Amino acid sequence: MQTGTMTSMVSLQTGFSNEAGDPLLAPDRRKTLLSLNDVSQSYHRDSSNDVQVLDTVSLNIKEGEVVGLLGRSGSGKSMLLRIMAGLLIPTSGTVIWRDTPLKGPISGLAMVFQSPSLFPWLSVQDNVELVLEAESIPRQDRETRARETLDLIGLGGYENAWPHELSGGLAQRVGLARALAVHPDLLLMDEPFSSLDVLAAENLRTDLVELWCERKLPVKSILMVTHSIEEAVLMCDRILVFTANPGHVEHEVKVALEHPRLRDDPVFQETVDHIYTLMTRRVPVVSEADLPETMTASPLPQPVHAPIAPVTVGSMIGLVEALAAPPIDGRADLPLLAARAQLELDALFPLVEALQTLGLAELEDGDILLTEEASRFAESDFDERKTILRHALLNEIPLVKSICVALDERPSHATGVDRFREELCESMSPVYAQQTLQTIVSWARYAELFDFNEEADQFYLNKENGS
Amino acid sequence: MSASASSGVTDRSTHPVSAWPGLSMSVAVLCVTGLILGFGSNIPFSPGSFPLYPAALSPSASITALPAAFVVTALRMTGWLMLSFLVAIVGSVVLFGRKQAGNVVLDLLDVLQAVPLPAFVLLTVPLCTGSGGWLGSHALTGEILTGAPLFAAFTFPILASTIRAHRRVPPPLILAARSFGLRAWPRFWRLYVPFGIPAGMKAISDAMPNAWLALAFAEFFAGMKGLPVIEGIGGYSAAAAKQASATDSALALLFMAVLVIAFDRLVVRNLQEWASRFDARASSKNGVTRRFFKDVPLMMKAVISAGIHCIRILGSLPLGPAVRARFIDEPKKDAGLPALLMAAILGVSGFVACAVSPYGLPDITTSLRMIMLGVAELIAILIPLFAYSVLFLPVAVRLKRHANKVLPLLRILTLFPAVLFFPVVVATTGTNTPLSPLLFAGLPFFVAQPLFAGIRTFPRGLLEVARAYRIRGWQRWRSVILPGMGKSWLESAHQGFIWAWNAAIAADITVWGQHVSQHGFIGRAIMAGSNHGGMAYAALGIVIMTLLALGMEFFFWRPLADYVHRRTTGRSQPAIVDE
Repeated sequence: MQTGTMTSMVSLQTGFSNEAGDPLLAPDRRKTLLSLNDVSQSYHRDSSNDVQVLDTVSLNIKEGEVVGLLGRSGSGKSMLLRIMAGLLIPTSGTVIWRDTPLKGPISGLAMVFQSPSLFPWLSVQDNVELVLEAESIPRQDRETRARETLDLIGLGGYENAWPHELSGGLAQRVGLARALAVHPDLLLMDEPFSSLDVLAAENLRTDLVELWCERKLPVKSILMVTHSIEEAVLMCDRILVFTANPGHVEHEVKVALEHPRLRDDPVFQETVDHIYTLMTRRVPVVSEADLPETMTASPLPQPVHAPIAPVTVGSMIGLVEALAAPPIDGRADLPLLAARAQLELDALFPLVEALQTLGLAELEDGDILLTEEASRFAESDFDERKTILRHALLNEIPLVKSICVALDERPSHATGVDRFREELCESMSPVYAQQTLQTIVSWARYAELFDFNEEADQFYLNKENGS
Repeated sequence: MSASASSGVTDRSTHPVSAWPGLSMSVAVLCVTGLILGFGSNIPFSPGSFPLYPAALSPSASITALPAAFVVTALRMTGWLMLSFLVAIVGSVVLFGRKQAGNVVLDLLDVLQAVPLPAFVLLTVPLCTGSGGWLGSHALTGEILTGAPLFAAFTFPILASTIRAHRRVPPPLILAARSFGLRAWPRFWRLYVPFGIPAGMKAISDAMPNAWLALAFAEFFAGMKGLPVIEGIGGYSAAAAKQASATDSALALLFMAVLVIAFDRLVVRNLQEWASRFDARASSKNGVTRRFFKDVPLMMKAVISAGIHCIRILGSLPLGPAVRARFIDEPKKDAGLPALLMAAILGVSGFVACAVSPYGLPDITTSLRMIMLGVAELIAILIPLFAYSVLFLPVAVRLKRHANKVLPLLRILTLFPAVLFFPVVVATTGTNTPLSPLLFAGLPFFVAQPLFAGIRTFPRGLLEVARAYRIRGWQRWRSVILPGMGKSWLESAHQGFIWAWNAAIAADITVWGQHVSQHGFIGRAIMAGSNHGGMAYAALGIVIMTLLALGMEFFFWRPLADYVHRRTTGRSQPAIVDE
């Protein structure tokens, strides 16, 4: 995997530009449309606790560029987009639109939402006209403009259709047409392809890029939130890699590929690899002895538990087996592995993390390596696998150990879930705590460590299966 | 007209597309109206056995009697709920696998649910009291009198919901059950009952406002007339109203409020929570049942465990014919035609009985007069209903952030039998204001509840789109809020109408001291008829009210629901799930 090539990609070869952005003009001389300066956002959880979602985010969007905001689910990207759209006011920091502080939604900004959010009681044409009416455009003009926009986006003939008659892809096109109809300077898109099936997403993505390249889109810039690395590399000139807890821009990657970009282009794949490495890079562990005294005196509180993604044992076993089998033999480049497992690259994230959490895999330069325990797991029979997973759970996940200790201590071999749920909630949100508990239960059931009674809301040892 | 009829407007999944009644529904109407008329014109009933109101004051209400009244009312509610549930289960067993017969019964149930609940008290009185009363001085007389409307409030909706739920069992599961050779009984018990339980429990929850109204009315009525009924809270309230005792009335209201809240939290919600385990779409999250049963004594746990074991054995009994292969076009044996014929014969017999009675069939003049009174009552209800729904819509939208806090309060207010408020309202506003009790108690809560529920579930994405594109002012109301709230608005109006229609008769026995309310139209005519021993006249009024309720359902609410559905979804046809 080559990672050093990215610096050489920082160049002026922006793949496309539009009417607003002169391709001969250096990017730093283009007008800035939107600026975020030290934007932070937090919300009040309880009397003593504030949760910080965004931490001093600063970025600029200039005319003539397509910017991607790339990050994992739950990292705060969508919240940041809503701040940019004027829908949310940040806790601190400023949002500047064309040299003026942004205080609410304005006509130069339009947003495409993750789900189409079409008004079900309005036809396609009326959905588009509605936002033009809000702009006080006369009836005749808005009819014409709505029709033109629908034609542009490939929806000519669907004017009288109802939202419920449209497929997901077509509905999202209407959402896009609605945004384009107001001729915004900056088009904000919140994971616009994530709710579509693969083919519909590819189709819409390609059409959008073509329209942008042909300078047919009535917008000056696009900012797109996505969690798909390939999507970002396919579409964007500049990718801002966003990390969570709290959300902030960690890296900026410029993409200097010409359009149309092809997935099997080696440079394309190197770019994807590079971003993947950036996104999976772990924070180096620093020994306390290496820290200055002032820092060791008041260490920052670290969460005791980390959220666990809802990953099934079946998928983990499938991944371990695929990794252990020749020709991979325990080490694989992640995009290649994703292709082999017929998975979207982003779908591998939680799986890989789960294996890491259980000590069954490690990451190295964007490659995944099976540990010895995992190799033994791949070769074992059913019962042996259960034993290995049991040990992994007890050794690697402190909560599992606490549950087992509690179950052993009690004569009834049953214990309420509440205290463990509360313990998790100290380190994560209630939603993630619930998701983590559910995943742990499913793993523990496979390993025959303990069982869960939903009605009684209790963990218990199941005598029948010997746990 | 009880609560489950309300589901017909907004939940069209269980109704045919056509708003017009078909043959089966027509026969059901014939059957129910014939029976009521035949019964009313032939039941021996003398006014002497049925004191005119305001009756002589009953023994003074005493505070010491209130705890006992509390227990009596609680036991009545619990007992009749259990009986109704049992009857509904038996009914669904009888109709299991008989689709055509089930359709006839469903139509009959729809018509029966259109009969105003207080009518079941009026029709039961001659059976239970007086010289011609079948039960005479039997101890059960009072309980049957107070339980009749309660039984109607519960049984009809539970049975209808259960039958409809059985039709939603997924075909792959039926196929799987057949492929494992499950006979009819275990198939019913293990597959259909679990599907019916959540629907049945939801029906109970939906029926609770009407059930409390029915029970409070029956007790109040019995107390007002001095009928031989063990005094419940309603009876206590009647005594207090007759004595114009504000303190005792307030105490009765307080005890009833405690009972309603306690019953809702301890019984209804627990039943729903328990039922949710059978609903694949719901998940048990709040653990009410768990908390409630956590401290159940060991002996009780053993009894529950033994009960569950018995039920499992019962459900495994290999009853019914063995599963056999069928020809693809083999006609299924069904009792549809016999059920239809039986209903028609019953209806015709009722009309014949009415015709040969001393009163004969109602003459046109009397019928027209009664219809006019019914229409007047309709208008008198629809005007405030419309006013409230228009008033509360912007209030609900304005207070949408507080909907979660407001809704539990509204739930309790809708559960509370507003009939007990009526005397207080009459005392405050006077006796000559048309429909004043309905206006000030009950109706506003029934209108407001669905509106707050609707705004709470309004898609946030659509509101965000409106904000992002700066859709404001009248445009926001016209293009976003009103279409989005259409379904909730309709539900609120329909729910309010059903309640008010039920309460219309109840409002006409309202007294405060010697003051008698003078606000009703057809409700008052029915009460006057029964007061003077003219049960044929009262039965005619009940039939007219039933027909008007059905007419409103078929020719107003359902077409309106279809219009709102089209206008708010763009879909021309409601989705049909089980038909």
